[in-house]
Amino acid sequence: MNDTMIREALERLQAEIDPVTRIRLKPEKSVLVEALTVFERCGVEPLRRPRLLAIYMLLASAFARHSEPLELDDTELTRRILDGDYLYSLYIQYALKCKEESLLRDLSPFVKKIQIARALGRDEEIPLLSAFEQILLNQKEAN
Amino acid sequence: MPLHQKLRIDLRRVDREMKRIVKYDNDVPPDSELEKSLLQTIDAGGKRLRPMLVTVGSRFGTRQNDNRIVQLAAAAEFIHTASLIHDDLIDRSPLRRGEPSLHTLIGPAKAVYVGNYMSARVVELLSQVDEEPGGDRQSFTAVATAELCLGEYEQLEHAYNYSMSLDDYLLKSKHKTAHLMAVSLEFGARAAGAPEAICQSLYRFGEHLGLSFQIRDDLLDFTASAEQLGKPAGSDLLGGQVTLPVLYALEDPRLAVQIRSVGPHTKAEDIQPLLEQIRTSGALKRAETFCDEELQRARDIALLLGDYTAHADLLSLADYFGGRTF
Repeated sequence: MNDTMIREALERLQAEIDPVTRIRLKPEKSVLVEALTVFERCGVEPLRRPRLLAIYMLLASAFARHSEPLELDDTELTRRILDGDYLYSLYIQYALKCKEESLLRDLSPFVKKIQIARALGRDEEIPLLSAFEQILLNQKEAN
Repeated sequence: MPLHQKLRIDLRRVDREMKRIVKYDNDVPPDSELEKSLLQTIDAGGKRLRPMLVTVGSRFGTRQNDNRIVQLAAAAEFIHTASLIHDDLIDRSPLRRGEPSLHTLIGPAKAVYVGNYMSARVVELLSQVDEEPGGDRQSFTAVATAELCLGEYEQLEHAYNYSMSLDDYLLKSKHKTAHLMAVSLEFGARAAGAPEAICQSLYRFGEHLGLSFQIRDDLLDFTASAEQLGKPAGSDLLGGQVTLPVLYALEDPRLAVQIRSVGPHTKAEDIQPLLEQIRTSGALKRAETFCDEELQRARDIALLLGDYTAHADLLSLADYFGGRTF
């Protein structure tokens, strides 16, 4: 079940990514399984889970591409900046395409606070899955 | 008369809104390096073309909500500014408008995050706005920034590629420059409740306008002074950007040999004679003609919108873009 959802999410995402970017997402399976476990615990319907997983992967990958160190003499700097920017914009675009406006809205203060923490030099671990869990539990309560 | 005055737009209000967006964010610590960097970036100014385009677009609608339009105008400039901060890093450019670029002042990592903050703050603001009745489902951040990135990827892909086609050049320029301008007009119109057909016409107008803007920029690499450009003349050619004048110059076999010899290790002084030959080759004139044709296409669309008083503002924009010297 998990394998099918992960494959479906990855296929959907790779189809969304423009080939000119040459981005190939290779997330760790254990991370994705953990995310699916959280989604299930929050009562997310099975049909919605691959969508959420794809959105989660895009945002996590965007954060990862912009993680420190970012140095001018790094030959990969240009690609890392572009990839992070592109994956972040695709995260917004894909969330809207999946009609996940409410998730996008609820995640936006969290995403912003992460950027603030990083800009202030506090590049701590990003509790992205916890943010998803909190938002999904709130959505469950509201329904 | 400056463009904003001709368009009757109070740009100070847009600047105030941009600062308000920062200062009213309780998550940004007051007097922090982040806040100072943001305010300094806003104070550094710019042409503020995108806020003007949002405002002009809104004049084609009936739902006039000044505060919301000013907020959208500021948001468009936030997106543009964030992209410039990242562009300077991608180009390793130490200067922006003749002043030290942000990454020179605070380091590359923090500069990336300042740009990211600006994008994230816009999404946060627009998410709140979109909750209002009649809000636009598609936040323009979604449709604008992915295209900007694609333009950058395409530029990277085609660096020093002297076999690039005109179509590839046009696609890259549309993504990199024209799209955000077109979207700014379109979303201003959407926010003000303009009819769908008008929103689409404004997008097309903005795309032609934006393309002419990019070609004009390409020409300035050959015609403007280092002082006007904030970087040495010929920087685009040296950096491997195959612009429209270069594409035309490549059609001359004599020039093509010299242009094709320009690579990542070529020095600025080595291309000075080549720059002069391109200037006198007729390539600039042809690019200028292409630029004028794009502007004429934009004007034709503006004239089709003659039932709207604001069509005169579109013509003012086209006139300004046609006469831009730096």
